[in-house]
Amino acid sequence: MKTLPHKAPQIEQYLLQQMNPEERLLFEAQMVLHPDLAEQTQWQQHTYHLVRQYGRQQLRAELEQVHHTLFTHSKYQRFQQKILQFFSK
Amino acid sequence: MRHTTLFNPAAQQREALFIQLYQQAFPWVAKYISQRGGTLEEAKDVFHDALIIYYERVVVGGMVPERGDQAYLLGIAKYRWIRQYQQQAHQQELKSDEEGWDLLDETTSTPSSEKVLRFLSVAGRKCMDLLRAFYYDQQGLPEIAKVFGFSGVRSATVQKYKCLEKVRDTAKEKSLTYEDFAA
Repeated sequence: MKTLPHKAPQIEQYLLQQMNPEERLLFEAQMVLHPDLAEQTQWQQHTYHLVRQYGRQQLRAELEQVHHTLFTHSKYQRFQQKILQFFSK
Repeated sequence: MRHTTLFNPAAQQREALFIQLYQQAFPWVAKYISQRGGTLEEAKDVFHDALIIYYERVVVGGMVPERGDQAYLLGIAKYRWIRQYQQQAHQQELKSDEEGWDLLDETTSTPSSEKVLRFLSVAGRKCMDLLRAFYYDQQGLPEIAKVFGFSGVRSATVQKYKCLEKVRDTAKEKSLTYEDFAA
């Protein structure tokens, strides 16, 4: 059977717990009847996971930038001295 | 689609917030870790873990830390530092992870999913940025539409699903390819 390309919104409602109990039951029955829907659902779940990993990676990069700013700009010199004194012993 | 770095108020707000939190809480973290023989680099790493958890729970999740931001950040940083850098003996001092601060050590990240992510970060960057804004940062659709240059909420929604499908299909295709190579 051909894959169902426009199911993303419905799969999302299922995965993000936005369905009522009847809708959930119906969706789960559909997955049993259509293994490709079950497979798409699994991959979509994986996609949210990838987006979260990507979000964290990007956030880490932003934090590195903030760290760099705080430890290089003269505006933050007092902060720098305060931190560095802890590690100078 | 325009690129997000042109003008993104959410990114600027984040930067301002992180600079403020750094100034408030990092001295405490640095002091704690230096007293236990840690380095500045280690203090930075655990502080960044703490800020990521803070971002997910407090900024996006709307949680209010009981004893304030500073105590919350220091609490996570201590926890992460003992877990990652201390000897086995000290690990026994740790309570079980009742706060869920181990969430950054997800075991579900496999080598093939890291490869997929590296591919998507380059080839599918615009989609990943859009999906990040929606799902990870949980920005509102009107703001997303503005930042990404869509005509309105409706077209932002359409694009979001297109991106979701594109990333889903790419992830599927690439994961299978990488697994083939690994086998």
